[in-house]
Amino acid sequence: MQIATQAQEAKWIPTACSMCYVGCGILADVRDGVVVNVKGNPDSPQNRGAMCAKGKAGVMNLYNPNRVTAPLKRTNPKKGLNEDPKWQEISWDEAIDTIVAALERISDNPKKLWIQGWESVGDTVYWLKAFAAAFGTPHFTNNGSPTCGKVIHPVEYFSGGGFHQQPDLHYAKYCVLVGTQMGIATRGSYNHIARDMAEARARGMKLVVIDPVGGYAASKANEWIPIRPGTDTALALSMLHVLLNEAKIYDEAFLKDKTNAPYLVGADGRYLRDEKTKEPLVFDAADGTAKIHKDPSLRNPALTGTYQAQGNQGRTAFDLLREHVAKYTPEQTEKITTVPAATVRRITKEFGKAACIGQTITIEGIVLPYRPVCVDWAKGTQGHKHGFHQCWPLKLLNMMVGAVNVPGGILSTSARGELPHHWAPHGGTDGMLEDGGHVFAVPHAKAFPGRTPTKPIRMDLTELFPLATHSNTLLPITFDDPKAYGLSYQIEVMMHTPTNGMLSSYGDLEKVERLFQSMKFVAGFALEINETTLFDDIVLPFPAFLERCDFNAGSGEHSIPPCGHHDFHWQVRLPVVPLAGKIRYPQEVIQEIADRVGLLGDTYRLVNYTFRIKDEYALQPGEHYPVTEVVDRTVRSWFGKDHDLNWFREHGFITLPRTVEEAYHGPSLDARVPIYLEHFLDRGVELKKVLDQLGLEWDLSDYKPLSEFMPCSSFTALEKGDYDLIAVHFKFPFTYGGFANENPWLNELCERTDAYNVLINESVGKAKGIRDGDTVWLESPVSKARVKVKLTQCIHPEVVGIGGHFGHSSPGMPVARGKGINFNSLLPTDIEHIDKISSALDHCVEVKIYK
Amino acid sequence: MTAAASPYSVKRKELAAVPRMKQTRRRTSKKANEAAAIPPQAAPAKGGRIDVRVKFMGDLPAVVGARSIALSLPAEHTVSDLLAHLSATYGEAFTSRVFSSSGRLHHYILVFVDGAKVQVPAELGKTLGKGEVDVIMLPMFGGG
Repeated sequence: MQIATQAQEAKWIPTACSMCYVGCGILADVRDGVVVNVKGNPDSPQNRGAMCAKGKAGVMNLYNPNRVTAPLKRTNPKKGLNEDPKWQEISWDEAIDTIVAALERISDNPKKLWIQGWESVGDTVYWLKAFAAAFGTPHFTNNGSPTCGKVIHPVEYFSGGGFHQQPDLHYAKYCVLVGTQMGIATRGSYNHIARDMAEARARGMKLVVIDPVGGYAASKANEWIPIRPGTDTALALSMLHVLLNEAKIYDEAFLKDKTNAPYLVGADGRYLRDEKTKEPLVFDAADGTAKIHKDPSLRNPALTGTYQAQGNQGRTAFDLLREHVAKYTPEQTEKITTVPAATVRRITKEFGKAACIGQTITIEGIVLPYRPVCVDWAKGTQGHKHGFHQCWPLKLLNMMVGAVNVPGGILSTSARGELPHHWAPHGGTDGMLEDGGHVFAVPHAKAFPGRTPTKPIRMDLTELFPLATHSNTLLPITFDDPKAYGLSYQIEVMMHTPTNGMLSSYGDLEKVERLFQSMKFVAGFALEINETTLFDDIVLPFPAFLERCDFNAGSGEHSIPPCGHHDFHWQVRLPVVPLAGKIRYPQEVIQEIADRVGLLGDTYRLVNYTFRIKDEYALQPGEHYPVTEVVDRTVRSWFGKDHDLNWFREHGFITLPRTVEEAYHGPSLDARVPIYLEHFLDRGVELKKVLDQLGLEWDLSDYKPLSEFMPCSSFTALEKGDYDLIAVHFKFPFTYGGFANENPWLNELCERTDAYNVLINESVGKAKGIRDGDTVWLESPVSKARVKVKLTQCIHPEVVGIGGHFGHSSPGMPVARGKGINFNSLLPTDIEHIDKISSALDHCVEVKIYK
Repeated sequence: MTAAASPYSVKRKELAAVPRMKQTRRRTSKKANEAAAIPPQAAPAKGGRIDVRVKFMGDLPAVVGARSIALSLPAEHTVSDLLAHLSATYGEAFTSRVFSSSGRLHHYILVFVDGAKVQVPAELGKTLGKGEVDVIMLPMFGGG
């Protein structure tokens, strides 16, 4: 009877989870103002009722007794990972006065401000980005990981049109995951695609996982293929060779009409161009003449061959690719990757055969190509010195069989929509896909045609990475010696969000510590006193799980929604309990800071633009708005007068219809996608000139239109025998991408699953006399730590697997403190370990392990 | 694969014009004289010239060396003309950040004239209105 009464009294309030960047729809059970339970919202399209362990345990973050709930200032001026800041609680007025004074000290040289803006799950990042631009600093970075999005976003925008990639699990029959646990343990829209993945497997989709670590994804796969870290390029090029030269399986129609495969390339590697229009030339086999790629009379562009065009000789880009990959025979690459040649041939042929080239499918009366195969990749391949070329040939495998943005293939997330407003990718220079689609009005990641390199002004040297979206990984490198890069100043003021850049955004912790120590003033939002917060002069308390109020409830609705023919959906995150202690909403705090430094109107201009707030609802200079009003104005702008904040309080989310063409936009895209990266040549030449002017000698061998395997330092170190193992990172579904480490329930999960231990192969343990559970030394070129070992057969024998992001040392995180190891701390952080295309920091590192 | 009809689904016709919203519970700025709050005034004509204030945001103040500058330009000058003028004045450091090698405005460059966003390329031929221009270079979004 008592139970029944309690059930009747339960008040399930819809909101969105904020334990990681996805943002699942949830219902919170609030009794007497206390959250006693949360569950997945069964009606939410984002997660269809499912929740992960992070979300279920989130209530413990809300009631974490060590949360920061009032502004603090340090009284110990000495800063360091092992320094006690000696916090003292202060008023909001004092906190903001102090921050404003620091900002005003650098207002004549605003580039001395650095804002680390990512809090992964809500609106604050956009507000801080607007404030940074208004202040006039180029130094806005996301404090994600040193690989986060480095390759996937720019590649996806020029080869697919959207933010990220996702296999179409609704139709796929053959899926290869390389260095990712997509749909099984990780990735955007995780709780949605996990069910899609399970249903695809039940339907009979074959899943092949290629990864040094036989983790969660491998455990669910038909086949796990261990690979030596840092050798994905060789594997992918070998698969391309088998596909194109041995099996001769490729989608000729797609390559001719939707890619630059038929573009004629001269001896210098550049396109042959029409003398008059300067447009690239193709050879029309229908009438035997060369013409520009968009000539209305073009009927049958030749995919192969060598032709004369306007006095010059050129070969098709497709021929160059096919010839280029021929040297990567499976027998050759087996020596590099350790993947047996027979395995490469078999999976490639299975992949090619399953592609169903030539077949179509009809969905709601729309006839589309049917290509039910895909190769998907993510962090594992991006995180390398040659990260771009680790990933790009994997993307090409999909493109060779036309499995791009069509049913069953690899899909580009959030690339196109018509409701609540229009957004779509478009073609541009040379007829190629140039402009990506994004539901927010933010500049998308872009690597085509790239920027013109120039002498740096930015401390992160973005000017020297003309094809990268961002280059935050350079900061711990340049600050040590800015003059070496032509820079004559130092960043002096840092502001940051609650995520933990110290442990998660860079490598070598000693360098990051020195970087943070070099700041004259640091102010940050905080949930808890983490290792980044230890360097703060002023700490601003930040709302926790279930207290937040955001229009943007996570990447699952705007950047990485579930792919396929789903309705568009949007949910807002509304607080289910009041703010604890003296916490204020960050959007309102930023308004006050911006106002105090005279930049409120400029900040609003960019907030209005970014959130696509219509004129009648636009935030007006001179006014301050409660966060609820800001969100209310935004939802009305997007969804009409009948869908205000109260409507979302009641319903939690809204859905809008999407067409088949929006879901599978490949056939209707008005642009070609590249198989040959011609623009890399010119950007490389231009960069060389600037580097010469600066007196810098960088290896620019990545600036080539066709990928080559290039070994990274860990590969070479093992060849030399200096080290005998390579450490790699992998993810746990219960800690990945969010605020999990200080949560006692998740800590218990980590302890019970040995997540804090490092993995080494059983045979290696035996050879070294190391037993399961032993504590040993793990030594990289920059760090040495005691770790506990877990022996397993599910790891490549040359590899040490390190999961999660542990190794906390802050006294403000007593649950997490002293457990596990921080993988990033092992990573050498210098220019030699940076991918010169994407700026990714090399994430495979040579190590020794001994007692 | 369409999801089952949701009771919350909205039909296209419902996304029509939205009326002005009642504004409540707001506070007034502490810096009433902030630059952006000043309503644009009609620029006085000076023999076929207008006074233009160009405000820079994002990376550009570091390139130009100032958050804003004042210019006197021919009244018929367009946004394109202004950008060309700025390119000529601030040289390669400005040009390389604002324009791609093919001469297109980079997608992360925003231009506002009198508070209204200039559509690129359609409105680059627009004149400079009352002379309040913002040229903004935003960071790209995604990862990092």
